Amino acid sequence: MPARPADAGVYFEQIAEAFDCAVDTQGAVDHHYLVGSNPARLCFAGDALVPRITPALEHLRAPNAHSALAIHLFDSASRNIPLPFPSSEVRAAFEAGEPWIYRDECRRILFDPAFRTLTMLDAERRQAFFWTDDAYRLSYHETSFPLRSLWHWWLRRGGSQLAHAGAVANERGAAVVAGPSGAGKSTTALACLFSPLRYLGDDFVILRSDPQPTVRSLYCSAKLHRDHIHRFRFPAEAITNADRADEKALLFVDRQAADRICLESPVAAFLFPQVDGSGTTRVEALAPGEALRTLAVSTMFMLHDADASDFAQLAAVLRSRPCFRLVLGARIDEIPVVIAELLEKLT
Amino acid sequence: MAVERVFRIPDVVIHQTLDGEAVVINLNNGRYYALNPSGSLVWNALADGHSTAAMARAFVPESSASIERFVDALVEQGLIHEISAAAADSPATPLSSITPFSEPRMEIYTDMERLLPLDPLHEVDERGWPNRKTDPS
Repeated sequence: MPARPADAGVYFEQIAEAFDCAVDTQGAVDHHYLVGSNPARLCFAGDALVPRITPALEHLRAPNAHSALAIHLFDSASRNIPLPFPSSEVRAAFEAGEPWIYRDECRRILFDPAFRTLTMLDAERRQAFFWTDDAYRLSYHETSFPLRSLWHWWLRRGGSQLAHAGAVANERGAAVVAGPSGAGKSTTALACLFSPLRYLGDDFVILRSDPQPTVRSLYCSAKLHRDHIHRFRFPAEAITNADRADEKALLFVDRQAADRICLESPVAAFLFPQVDGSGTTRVEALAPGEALRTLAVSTMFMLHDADASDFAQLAAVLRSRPCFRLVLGARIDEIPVVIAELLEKLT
Repeated sequence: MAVERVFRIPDVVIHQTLDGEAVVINLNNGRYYALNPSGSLVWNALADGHSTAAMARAFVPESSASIERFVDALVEQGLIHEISAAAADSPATPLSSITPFSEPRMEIYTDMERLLPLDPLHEVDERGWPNRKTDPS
């Protein structure tokens, strides 16, 4: 067993050595992306993790260039590369299903036993690591929003904020669609896909308040209850996990309607869907306090290590634009019409 | 004469106010709170370091009992800790009178408790890495 690292910096070196061992046996594969306007290089040891991580980021693919962040990804199962832990206590916590997070001024380390992953960022060195024990067993949730904690840590250093929300937009601006899981974010975002409105995301987007409220796309993945798939114009083969009935249906929008994806838009309004299921789809006034409670709370608790600065950032964006409840009626084709009418009225 | 009670908000309790409604989150247990306008007023005055007695003087004299009840409820929820007046920082902004001053209230939400996966504080401390930092609150 390796000696316990003296500090977080030494632990980063240990993980870098483990990654290098994985590369020695499996080779390295680089993929480049533009995430929140920042170039990032994902360097995979072998190709086992590539189909688990890259599809949701495909629409952000960028030419090879200087990267602001290098992310090194590997797993243990592919070539039996053991993962060093910071201490026996951390290993025991991980095996017992208890998450563990470390932070200092420029580094973050997260052991997430639910997803069987380790995520590490050294912002000063612009270097990150992602590990999972077995790429083939990686949760479909991670495939739908890969490297979520890493983007959260990295983007907020530049003034951007990950938000638990979707977004759709036209030339007038974007409606950010926020709410807890099950509120109707995916239904709303996907309903707009085959309309003049364009799609920025259905679960997590990047918000920025300065110099003007802006939303950027992060993932092109969409998760839907299997009972709801028939409501959208997706072919059966669009579902990438059709063989796993216990999971929500996972599809990637860029494979179905790449030209309907929008990468960035100024924010015109915040919408908070609420499934009614009957009557007409409509927008209603919503108290800003309720909007803050809904967007900020669900975001704060969906992101590991969110803190007061994240809360302040979300409040700052919400303060700047009107908030509405979007009551979802029986017909999903009304959704883009109602949103487009609202955007026209506001802009 | 009202007692000059002052309080501190622990680091794990974060808050923002939008359109006069404060939202308070306890990162330790996943509970969050929506305060009505009077509750938000009291909360922000506490956050700024004002004493309950100063609030009663500034708002309306009849508000004293309401403020004390509300503050006790905040203490019970672990959202604030009473500290000695000597340990308190001077308030950054003066209080102004508010009318009408209704009963300060808070709604408590527990639906996020199930999503709380982490002990959020595993920071470096003097014992070295990766020991758990003791939460001073």
